[in-house]
Amino acid sequence: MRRRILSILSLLAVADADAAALPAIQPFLDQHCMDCHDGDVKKGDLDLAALSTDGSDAAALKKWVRVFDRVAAGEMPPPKKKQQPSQDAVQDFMAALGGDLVAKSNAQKGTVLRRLNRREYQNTINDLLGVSVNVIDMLPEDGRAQGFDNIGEALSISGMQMQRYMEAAELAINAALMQGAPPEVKLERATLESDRNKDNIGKHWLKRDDGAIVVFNEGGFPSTVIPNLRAREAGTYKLRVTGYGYQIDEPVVFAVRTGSFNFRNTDTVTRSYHELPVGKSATVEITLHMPQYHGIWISAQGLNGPDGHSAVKDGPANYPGEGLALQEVTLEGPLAVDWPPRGQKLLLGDARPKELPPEKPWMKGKPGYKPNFTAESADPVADSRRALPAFAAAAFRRPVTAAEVEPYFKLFDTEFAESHDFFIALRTAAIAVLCSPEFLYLNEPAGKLNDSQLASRLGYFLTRSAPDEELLTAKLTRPDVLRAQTERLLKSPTLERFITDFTDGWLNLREIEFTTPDKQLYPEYDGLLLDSMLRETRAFMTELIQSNLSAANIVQSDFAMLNARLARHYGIPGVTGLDLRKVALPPDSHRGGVLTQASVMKVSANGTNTSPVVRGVFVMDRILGMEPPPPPPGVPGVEPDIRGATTLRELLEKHRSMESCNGCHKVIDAPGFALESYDVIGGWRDRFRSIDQGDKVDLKIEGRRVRYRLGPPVDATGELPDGRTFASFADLQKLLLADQDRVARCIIEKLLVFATGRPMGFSDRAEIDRILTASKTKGHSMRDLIHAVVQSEVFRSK
Amino acid sequence: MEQNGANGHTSEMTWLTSAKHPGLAGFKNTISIDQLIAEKIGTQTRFPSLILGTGSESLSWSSSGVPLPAENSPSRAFQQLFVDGTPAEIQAQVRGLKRGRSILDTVMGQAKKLHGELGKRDQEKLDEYFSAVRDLEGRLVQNEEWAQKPKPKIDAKPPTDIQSRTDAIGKMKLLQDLVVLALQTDSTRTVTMRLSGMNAVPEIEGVKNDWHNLSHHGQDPAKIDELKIIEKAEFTAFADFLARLRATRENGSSLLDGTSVLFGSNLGNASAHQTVNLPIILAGGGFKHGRHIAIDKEKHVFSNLFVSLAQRMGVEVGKFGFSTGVLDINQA
Repeated sequence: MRRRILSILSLLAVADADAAALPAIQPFLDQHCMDCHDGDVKKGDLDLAALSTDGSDAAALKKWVRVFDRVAAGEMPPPKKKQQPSQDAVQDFMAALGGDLVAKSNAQKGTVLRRLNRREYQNTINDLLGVSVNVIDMLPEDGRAQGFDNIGEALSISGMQMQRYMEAAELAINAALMQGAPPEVKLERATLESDRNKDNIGKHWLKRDDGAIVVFNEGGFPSTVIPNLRAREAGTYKLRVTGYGYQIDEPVVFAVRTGSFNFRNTDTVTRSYHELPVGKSATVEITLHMPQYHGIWISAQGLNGPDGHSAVKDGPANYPGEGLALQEVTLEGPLAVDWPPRGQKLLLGDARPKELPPEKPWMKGKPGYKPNFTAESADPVADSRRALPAFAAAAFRRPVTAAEVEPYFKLFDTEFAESHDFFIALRTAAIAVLCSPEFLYLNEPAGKLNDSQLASRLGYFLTRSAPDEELLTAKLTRPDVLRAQTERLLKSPTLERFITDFTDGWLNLREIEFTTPDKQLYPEYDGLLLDSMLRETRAFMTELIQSNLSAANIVQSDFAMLNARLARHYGIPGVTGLDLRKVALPPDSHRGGVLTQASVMKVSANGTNTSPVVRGVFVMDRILGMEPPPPPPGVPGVEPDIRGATTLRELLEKHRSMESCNGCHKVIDAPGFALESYDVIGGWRDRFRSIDQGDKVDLKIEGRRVRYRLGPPVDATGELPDGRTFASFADLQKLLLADQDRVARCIIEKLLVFATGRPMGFSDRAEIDRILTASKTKGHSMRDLIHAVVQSEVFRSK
Repeated sequence: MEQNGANGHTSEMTWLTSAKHPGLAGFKNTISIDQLIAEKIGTQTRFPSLILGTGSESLSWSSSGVPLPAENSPSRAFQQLFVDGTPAEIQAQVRGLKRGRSILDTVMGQAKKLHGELGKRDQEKLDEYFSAVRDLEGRLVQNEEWAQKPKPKIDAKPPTDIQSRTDAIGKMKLLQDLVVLALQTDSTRTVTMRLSGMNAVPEIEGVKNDWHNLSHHGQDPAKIDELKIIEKAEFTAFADFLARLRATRENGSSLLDGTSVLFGSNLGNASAHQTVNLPIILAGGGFKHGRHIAIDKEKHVFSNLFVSLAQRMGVEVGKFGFSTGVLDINQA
């Protein structure tokens, strides 16, 4: 009988040997530590007798660093212990252990051969070939370390992934080569009026005298996908939407969604939100990239009407509810790009591909028909010898030697002998170049980086892609040149990529949709709010860098980047429109700083409740740069109870009353307690919302009465481990501001990790201290701080 | 307890690999049990293993501890398993496979040259690249051998992929149907299938709330009731699957008797993200059934079961992950 195995994981949850320590510190350990941390007692799960001193054991090294830090901070041996080591003994201990940890950390710290992550891969391949393909979705998700997905150690590769790389390379190369003439720019006009919609007009929608069609729905049914308007080919387009708000007090908001809209809308993506004024016609212009044959859905948001009425029941002409009047939608493009694409120039020189006739003549001109191309060569071998070295140098981001390209010549020759087709053989060799380790990995030798290695490091840091021509030819080993180039990139439009990737990794914003707020508890949550909160945090970081503001703003700022939706959420008057702008915050606004931003409050909560522990860990790790140790094994998490009788804080008290738990929790929980004033979507609260117990609320949101109740009051008071107390988050902000070096140090570390693709180790502390001291003289200004990071030894060497 | 990791969900990575402390410092995942078995016996079938999922992530990890992506389109998998191409298509496919191997030969040569220039840790990283290229080469060779042989003929119609993101049970059923066909035709002998939860309302009668939110039920009885509806739907679909395996005969016995089926979750009490007391069902495989076994945690860890499952597949292993022995279910 054949045997098989089948394993199914159902995520119902969705939800060695004794190693002696260093001889020099052994007496200190014996005298002051072993009472509690030997093999018998193992307090806090720490057994110093068995803790490995092998420097390549990352987990053990981390524990030794923690031993160092806790002794250095005077937390160990515990102050309440009678027998305390002398100052000198502590100094000697730290010198001996510190020296050893520096040596061990030095041996391990260089950036490990770093594979391009899928974003970097896509940016790189598009920039290299002059195309705009989407290959991110073809590639498996990247591993992360310390929140970032560009850390060498955490980026792995499998056979399947290798296959996807081959496919992605072929797709991108074809996108560059399978075109013989620049795309024709066309302007297409459309309205909602069409055969498909003739029954909807007069029944669901109203046609007005000015030709506008007024819709009263979001556009799921009847669909408000614009009829007969599709991107004929992939490219960048200008979309113009003309219309106005109808029977509405505020400007009418709509989402632009794109997709193939063939079936059940699985590839539909919300691109952006916009608004049109009340009563008078206006045009909104949007530039966006469209995949081939995708269309446009204009989806009105938050349209309300009085209870008991509907457009169908009343008749559209009599219906008194809010509507969006759409007059015209135009799509213009694909907009001119550099033509021929860079990949074509690199591979074919001045020759252009020729379109082949279709297999059957009737196929041409049919929608969905993709013509095939070929390129001819009078001297294929000579042409391949011209093309491949240039292509490889561009792909490898550095000059290449003759020996290095020889294997690609050979591959070309073999393929040409087999197929007798220059075009096929050349494409095969080019795919191989893009699958080679020299393209897929950033290879840095030990020690100081040279000009082209620095170019790659800086390029991937600030533009998230391969270095451009100017960067590749710059003498970056000269500090002044390095500075000038950094400044240039900070001013370039590609900075947006840096802002997004860095901020999302640092603050975990990629996970923002991991939970959806409970509809009953948070009826005010909507797609526009989610979109706005993400943009707020990115805009905030952009503002800090562009205006060179202090890193202290991360903790507290007197401004925020807001649009009307966020201002409504935060209760700040006087902000209109959906574009974000810098707004001076009124006193007692409860806003200012990253931690008061809705995105951060949302990502550190789940859809129903907040946990001071989770938020505390978030603040420690991402704002203060202190990584809290994981809970010891066997300790279950606290189970929240949202019925409204008990708060998580009360449940936590039991936990905290145990000494073994409180050691860490008194450090972790404090900022989390202060942040209890912000709910799971970052709204301000004085009382917890509950679904069961508590007071009813007399409030309507979007025309509907809210169903949540108000439960126990929020207790945002707490005490820092050093005994300083706070009564509110605003209080805590003041305490954190008193120690802004810590915040600056944290952001410096995060920038260094992101820029170098490796975790910072014990031996980097001295250099980080140096950057911090230099940064302090400039008030920790963010732009200067980035320059200091780039100029540092850590950045300029492996 | 060894499954306590960086956060409440990291034990997803180690359910079938049994590596310790997922996501914490020094963590490196290891091969999953299905891939270990596939390495040993996978060459006997057209596919060494099937890695399926309702999302893009799977339960399977390669020999270098690298996550393997899941196939989530039943129609695409069906195509690969059962639909023969035209002679011209097969020829083009073979040509493509050969071309793929030439590309891999070329880059492997490049990588070998590079290897000599690197430091130790970089070399270890590049070793992952070597394994990836070798894995894929092996796959391409195996594909080429099988490309010429006709695929098994079956009566079943090709499935239509479910487009709705939220029809979790429908997707589960389609994948299960495919698994029955694949096992029945001996196209593969190891399969993993990951059913991911979602942050959306699943299309199940009576469920109105976001699935993930329901699992964070916070003791709210209404939420727990809805969660039960979802779990019941999952178990009903799973029972249908077992019934189909049992109804399919091979060599005089049922397909179910020849197939060990492991069904479970990486979390015990999910509302508190606990990684102990995992709910696990072991079906089929000719085991003694109809019992709930509370495993003595002093004696056995989860991976002890994997050792015994691998041994039943004829794979000689004495230890897997942090196993402490062999868990023979019939003796337990």
